[in-house]
Amino acid sequence: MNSEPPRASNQAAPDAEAELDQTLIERAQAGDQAAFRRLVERHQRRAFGIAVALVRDEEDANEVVQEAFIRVYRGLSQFHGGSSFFTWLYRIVTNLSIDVIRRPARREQPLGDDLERELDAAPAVRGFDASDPFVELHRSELRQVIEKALDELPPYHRGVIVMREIQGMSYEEMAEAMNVSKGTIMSRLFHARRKLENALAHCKNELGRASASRGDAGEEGES
Amino acid sequence: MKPEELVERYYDGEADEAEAERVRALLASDPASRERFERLGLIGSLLREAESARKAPADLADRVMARIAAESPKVRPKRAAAFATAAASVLALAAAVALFVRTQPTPREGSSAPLSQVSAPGAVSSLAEVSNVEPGIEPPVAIESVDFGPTQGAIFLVSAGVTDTMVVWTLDEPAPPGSLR
Repeated sequence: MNSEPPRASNQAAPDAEAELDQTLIERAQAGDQAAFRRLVERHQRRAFGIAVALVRDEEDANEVVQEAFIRVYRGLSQFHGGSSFFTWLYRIVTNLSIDVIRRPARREQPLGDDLERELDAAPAVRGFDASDPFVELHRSELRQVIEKALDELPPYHRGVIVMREIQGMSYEEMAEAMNVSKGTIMSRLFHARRKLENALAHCKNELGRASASRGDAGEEGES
Repeated sequence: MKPEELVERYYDGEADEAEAERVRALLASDPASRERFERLGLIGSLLREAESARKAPADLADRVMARIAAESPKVRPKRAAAFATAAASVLALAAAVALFVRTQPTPREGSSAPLSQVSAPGAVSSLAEVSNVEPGIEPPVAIESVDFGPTQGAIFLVSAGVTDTMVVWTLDEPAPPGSLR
């Protein structure tokens, strides 16, 4: 078993990346638009990933990310490197995404934190092990289940899962990006993961039952 | 902190050394904690696999830069217009001043006639005193009066070596009715 945990992004992100960002920012601040374009190209995929995770619509996410970069461009003169560029950018992306989610026509589900109390009572998931051969056998189904479960999470929970698991952001970076405390981030992560774990467990039960049922049918046919 | 929360902190690379030590012991002794740790890893890897297919729109950077380019020309004319307005105001004021400046007779030796006579009262006078010439230096011109229109103002020269700089000073607010101009 590999018990080494993945490292949070504030440890893993190479300093060279941050230095390159800073150099590009300084050039952009001096009016170099090509430098700003490079910043956009360097961060657009991750920013888009967070926006999609929050708004669950690629067109809306595209608009959000464009607007976020425009705001970054307008605010370049105020950026003094106190926090990392991507944390600043993600905070804007998060705020714009929340604005989109809060549009009256989009209020299909609450943002997330108000759902946590009911989950506190949910039992921990048991009986699902990554080393189980079942996982490799059904990996594509499990991926679909996780995607569907992610879709069904409230936006704040989706946001922290994507920021942590896909973008590799630390608790501190996420807290800054979402303008909440680290405790809130931990709580959101915990509950979001519990839901994803439950979805996996449910899938395993379903697949197990289907498999048993096929086995039974085969035995009946042979007899 | 509950063991499952501790495991999660450890998985996320956020546990401090003491917490990490506790989690390692827990993972070694508690199958449920070990199972959860592996499950977190599985969820993370499934999410990353699902996400790897997602790409930002190919033209996103083009669109951003096009919007920036479209905004820039709107800003420049506004600044240019503001600058032109300011420049025109200064020129107009300078022209008005020029009309009212006339050459004065040479003052008598030893006099300390003011270089400028300030038409505005009060605080303006004290500013004007700055421009008083030193005794014995002959001023080339004197300003008798200045028409500042509806506002108050003063005009004076500041000497710096061989050159004199004319300074025009005005209030933003119109002068009260009946005040000197």
